[in-house]
Amino acid sequence: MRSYNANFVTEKNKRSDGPAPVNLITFDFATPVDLSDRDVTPTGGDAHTGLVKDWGFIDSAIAQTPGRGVLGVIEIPDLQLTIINTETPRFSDNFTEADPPENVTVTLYQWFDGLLDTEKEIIFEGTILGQPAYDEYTCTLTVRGIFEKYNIRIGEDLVINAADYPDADPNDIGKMLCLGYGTLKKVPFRAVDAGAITTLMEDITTASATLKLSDSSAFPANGTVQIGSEQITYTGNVANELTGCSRGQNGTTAAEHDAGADIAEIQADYYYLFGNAVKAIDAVYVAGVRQDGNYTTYTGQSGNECPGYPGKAAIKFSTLPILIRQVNVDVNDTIDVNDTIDVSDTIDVSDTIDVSDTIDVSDTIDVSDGIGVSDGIDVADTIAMSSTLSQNCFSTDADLPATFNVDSKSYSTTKTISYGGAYWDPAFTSGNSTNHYSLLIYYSAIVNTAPMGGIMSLLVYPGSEPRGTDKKTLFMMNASGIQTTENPGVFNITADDYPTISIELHVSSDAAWDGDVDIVVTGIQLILHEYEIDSDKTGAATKTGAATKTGSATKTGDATKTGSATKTGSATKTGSATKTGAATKTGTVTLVGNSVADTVIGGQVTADIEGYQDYEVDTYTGTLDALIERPDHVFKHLWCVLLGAPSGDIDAVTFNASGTFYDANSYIFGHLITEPVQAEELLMKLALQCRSRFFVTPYGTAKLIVRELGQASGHAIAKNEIKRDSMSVQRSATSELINNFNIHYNKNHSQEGNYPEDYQSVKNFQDATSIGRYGTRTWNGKKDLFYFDAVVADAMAQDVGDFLLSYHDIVRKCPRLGVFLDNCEIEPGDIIDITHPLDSMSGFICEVQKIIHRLGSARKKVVDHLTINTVEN
Amino acid sequence: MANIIFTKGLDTFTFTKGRSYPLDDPAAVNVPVDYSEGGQLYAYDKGIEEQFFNLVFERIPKTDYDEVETWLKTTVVGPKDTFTYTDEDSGAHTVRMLDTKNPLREVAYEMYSGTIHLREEM
Repeated sequence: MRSYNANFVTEKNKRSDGPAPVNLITFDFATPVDLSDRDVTPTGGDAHTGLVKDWGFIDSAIAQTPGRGVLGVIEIPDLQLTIINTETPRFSDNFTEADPPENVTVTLYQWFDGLLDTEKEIIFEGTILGQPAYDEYTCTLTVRGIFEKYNIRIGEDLVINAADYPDADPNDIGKMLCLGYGTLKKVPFRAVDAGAITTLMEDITTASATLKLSDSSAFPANGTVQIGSEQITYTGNVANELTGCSRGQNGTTAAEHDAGADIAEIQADYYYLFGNAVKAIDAVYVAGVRQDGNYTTYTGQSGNECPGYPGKAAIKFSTLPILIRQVNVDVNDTIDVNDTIDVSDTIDVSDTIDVSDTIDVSDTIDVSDGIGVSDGIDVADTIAMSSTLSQNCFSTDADLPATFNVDSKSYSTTKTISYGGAYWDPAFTSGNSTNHYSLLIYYSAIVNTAPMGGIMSLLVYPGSEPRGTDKKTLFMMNASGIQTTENPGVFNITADDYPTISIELHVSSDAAWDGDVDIVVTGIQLILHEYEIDSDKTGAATKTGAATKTGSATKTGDATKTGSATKTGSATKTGSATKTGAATKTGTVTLVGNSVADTVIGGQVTADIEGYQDYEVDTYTGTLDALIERPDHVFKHLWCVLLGAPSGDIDAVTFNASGTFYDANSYIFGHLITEPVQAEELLMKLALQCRSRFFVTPYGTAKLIVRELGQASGHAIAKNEIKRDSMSVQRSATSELINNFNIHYNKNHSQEGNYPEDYQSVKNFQDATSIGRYGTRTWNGKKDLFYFDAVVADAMAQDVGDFLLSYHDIVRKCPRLGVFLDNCEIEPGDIIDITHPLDSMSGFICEVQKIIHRLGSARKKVVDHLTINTVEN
Repeated sequence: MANIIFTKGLDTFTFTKGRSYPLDDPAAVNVPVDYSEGGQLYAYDKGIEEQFFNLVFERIPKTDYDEVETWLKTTVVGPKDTFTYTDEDSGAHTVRMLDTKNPLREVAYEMYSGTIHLREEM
């Protein structure tokens, strides 16, 4: 929260009772230019010309917020201006080659008409960003916040180049001399004067007097070189060849060397350099192996500086720093194996496989049977039949004789003769209706003439009408005379028929009849036989003999099968196989290599160090010679020393408060800068690693604020102070939630990469409640989100990780509102509380993330106001 | 009442005829306003007061037209330079001509009418 002088506060807090806000701007050209949107001269101040046509706005924000990205950068505020360019001289005439606008500092003040010039307050300070545009009427330009001036690329002046370090190891050309804060292990020292190094182009023997090198240009015309453990003197250096070589010098032994072997110049001393003076240098390593003597260390502090390299830590070796390793022999095995072994297999196979056949058979075969059967069986029936002959009955008819005169063709006459009473009284013995009866009709007739032609017949029908078809022809006459056919006529009747019975005599002639005949039936005798069939038959019928069949049956056609058969079960093998015979090996084993110790030349030189130290009482740490490692101390040192910014721009209030927090929680940095880095990137990265915000206000003050949740409000905004229709709430995007991430820390500084394997410790942070609610949320799919190259301690990594998880694992409300100048003390990073009917906000506590200060305009009829973006705290 | 006079240094001319009624000489202030959610009025005084003089002439002669033409084109170059406007009551005002082209129109043969716009910064 900004603080202003009392009279300024009185004016800014006025609402409708006469405040007259005026913006005053000063351009620090060789001859300063003071402008405003009207001609005005504050009491005791300079005259400002009213050439500003449009003020635009000032935007200022802090990074690392939901909606801005966890790994956002420090945002540098801007101010857009449009200035009238019609006066003489024109405003743009101030842009000269000698005094280019890009370097001009611009300061904007808020002032109220009636105040003294000294009572104005700065609200923006910056430099003109490139490419101001102007014509005869207006000049438009963008002024960038003052941090842009200090947003340098740190370490660029420490990059090793051949001009500044002609004797540097070519492998280190282009690398940066490292800078270090805090306690660091195995940090690289660059070889700035370590003699020339190259490689052999050809194998050499122990007697070779000429060495062919990949590049001998960096070697002196004559001198001494070392290959492996052998030192060799030479007298000539021409066309990448060292000539006049004397082998095995300075107590060493001549040896064979292979092409590609490192060859190093022998010189009196070898210098390895760090980028800054350090508090201490402890262990020294070559190729990762700690060295025991043979070197001198310089901290670079006053009184302990390496000659030729003031103000920088250095290590000087008095002999070539090498590392001797064990023998490295390769075995080359070319043995061939000739195998003639026979295998005898006596294994039994026991098959318990079941076959399941589902095949269908379709039979279309026809059978032709020509077999004959000859039955010679005899049947012997011994069944007895019991037959009882019934009484014969007799009767006569009173109607007889009956005469028929057949004298015409197609004659037909019927005469019915009924029997009963005295004429028909048969007495049957059984009267059993189940018995069988047989009626025999006898007749006697006289035929008085001979036939003349045609046919005449006498038929008899027993029984009553309707007459059945059971008729008998008693006689038939034709030209040949009487042809008697039946006498008696025999009829089977039932017992029901006999009580009364009638017969019909039917005489007829055919159409060919040619005669006149009288037939006189003189008598008819009826005899009724009753007989009983005894059903009780006993005995058995037997058949004897044999039936024989002869001939043959033949089948034609095809039978087809469909479907498949399956097998189940397993086969087991028992028994053993035996091998006989022998294998023979031919060929040789050879050894390659020189069987001498492997000498590493040009290995990386590293050291354990304590980095920057305080050099005056109360400068950065408060203690002379103290190690600069607490985050606020590091930020101060960075700001003042590496960025070259004024120490007076550091906000003591926020820095001190942060320092108290770091001290209480044992936050310390161990950070190594190995390559040039943009200041804003480094500051943001370090702030993240100590859960803080570092930012530079629009008015040019550097602030450091520890990020915390559940903070108390420092300023209340009531509904009556919020610009009409400006209040809105946005919820942070779930896509920007993080509830599962890793923090890699405790960096291995001998590895200059930035990958998980370059760190010695890792912690995972995840929140089950958040994961249950939103699913697993990483950042852009990356779980390995944070690489904390300045954090060494477990407790600090845990504390920072816990905070980041709790901050980012939920969706937060982000109120946005407008206020007027009576709230212009609010700035990013402040904790405020809002009371407004929307969302029933009553003292809703949030952190200010961004402010856009819209400068008022008479021309546009706009009142000065601020748009504030916040996030729930 | 005297006729209107324009003066800049040694250059000066007097209209041969008075301006027509109604006179339209409004004053203005630059005080934009806004309101809070609670209805609180915020009124910021953002600029100087202004006085406008809208001089309405009807059927003035060609000599006046030529004077205005010269004044506009040469003497003050439209709004570029200030000059002294002496009103009918002999009041002197430092003003700018807001017109960038001659506002007088010929309404009859060599008779001109139109409105000249002046602005005084106060």
